[in-house]
Amino acid sequence: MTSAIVSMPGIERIQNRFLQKLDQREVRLSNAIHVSCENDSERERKEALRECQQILHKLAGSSGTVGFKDLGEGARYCEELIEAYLAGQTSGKDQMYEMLTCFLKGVEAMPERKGHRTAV
Amino acid sequence: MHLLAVDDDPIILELLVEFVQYLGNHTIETATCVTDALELVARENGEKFDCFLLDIQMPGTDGIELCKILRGRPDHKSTPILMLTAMSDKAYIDRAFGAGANDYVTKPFEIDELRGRIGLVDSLITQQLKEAGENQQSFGDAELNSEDTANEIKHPLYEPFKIHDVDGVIEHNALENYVSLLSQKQLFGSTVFAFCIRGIADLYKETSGFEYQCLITDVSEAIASSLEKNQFLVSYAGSGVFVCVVERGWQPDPCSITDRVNLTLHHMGLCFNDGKPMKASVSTGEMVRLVWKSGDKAIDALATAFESAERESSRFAQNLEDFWYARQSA
Repeated sequence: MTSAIVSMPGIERIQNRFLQKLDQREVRLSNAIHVSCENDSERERKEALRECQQILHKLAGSSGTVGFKDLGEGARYCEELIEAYLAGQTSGKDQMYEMLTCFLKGVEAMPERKGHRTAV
Repeated sequence: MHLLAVDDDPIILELLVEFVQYLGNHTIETATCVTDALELVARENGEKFDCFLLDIQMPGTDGIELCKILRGRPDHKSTPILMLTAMSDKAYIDRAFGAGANDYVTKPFEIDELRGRIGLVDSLITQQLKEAGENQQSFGDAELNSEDTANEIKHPLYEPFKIHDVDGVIEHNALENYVSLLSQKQLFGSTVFAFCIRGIADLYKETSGFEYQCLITDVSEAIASSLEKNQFLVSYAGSGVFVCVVERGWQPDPCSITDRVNLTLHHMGLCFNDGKPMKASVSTGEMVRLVWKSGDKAIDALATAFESAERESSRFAQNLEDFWYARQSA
């Protein structure tokens, strides 16, 4: 976390809001990953992956700014894997799902979220 | 300054509100979509916005479309617009500058960078207000856009100025921001070069303020038209020089592109206010690839292109009748 962010009053409130939103995004991301793996329809699988991409894009943009740099970098990496897959580089499919699973586990294990989880 | 931030992520908007309050000398309003933003811009009784911070990727109408819409409004033709975007979206960045954005800030934000960019915008607005005040003092209530007034106001020869309503032509400081902020990797396929109007010093002396402005605008149209099948950005850098950045590994042949622009100018039939034909043609400088260049080195490349075009122009300035490079066979 940069010292400039720490010195801004109100940052803690924003971080708490971010973590609340993260709970919702985690559920949506998990559901979208499940649909993209299990659905019979190619079109719906791709739609689900696009939803994953949008959630990860938002996380990549805001996480680092509110002080969760590793989360943001992980989200960016997963977003790029999905972009490559949707652009036709299907050989990376297994790696993509592996990284998405790892990312979700990392989100779940974030120390900042202990005692912070909200009901969704 | 009074800012409007538009982003579909409420966390980003909260952060920006907190940040502006932290800075202390600006105010901010927010919108989560383009529709709400345009309602705020169009309202009659609200405070006018001095600067826009626009996210690019939003559901429905995106930030680039909003940028175009704002630039189409007479009250926001020149209002500074900063795009908020992720570094990986270079294609979006290119489109945003083409739509009239002045600068961009990358997500995740570095607060110091955001502070610096807003500070630059603040200085720019202060300068614009000062110039507008000086013009108002000189011309009283006269409509500053009228031809008579424009004839009186003549931009100094060396000074860049904004060219309106030509696709792909952006402000010079926007082009500098574009190349200085892109990474080396993103600039690998980019080439910069410049055109210089031959005999510009003489043309400047012979033209009124309005005629000079028209000349520069017409030449920018000829250049944009000649480059239109490729991905490009052009800016007017002053002294009759137009700096161009082209993408995707394309490197035009200098002779061919010069002839193409000059042919277009010839067909446009430029003339002075009294109908007398105005002979305007350009020279092209060396092509500078932006491989392994970013930041200050990329800015240096712009300067190299600028100076190279001026040198070429000086070489041909004495021979205005002979503007074809390719020999014409019978």
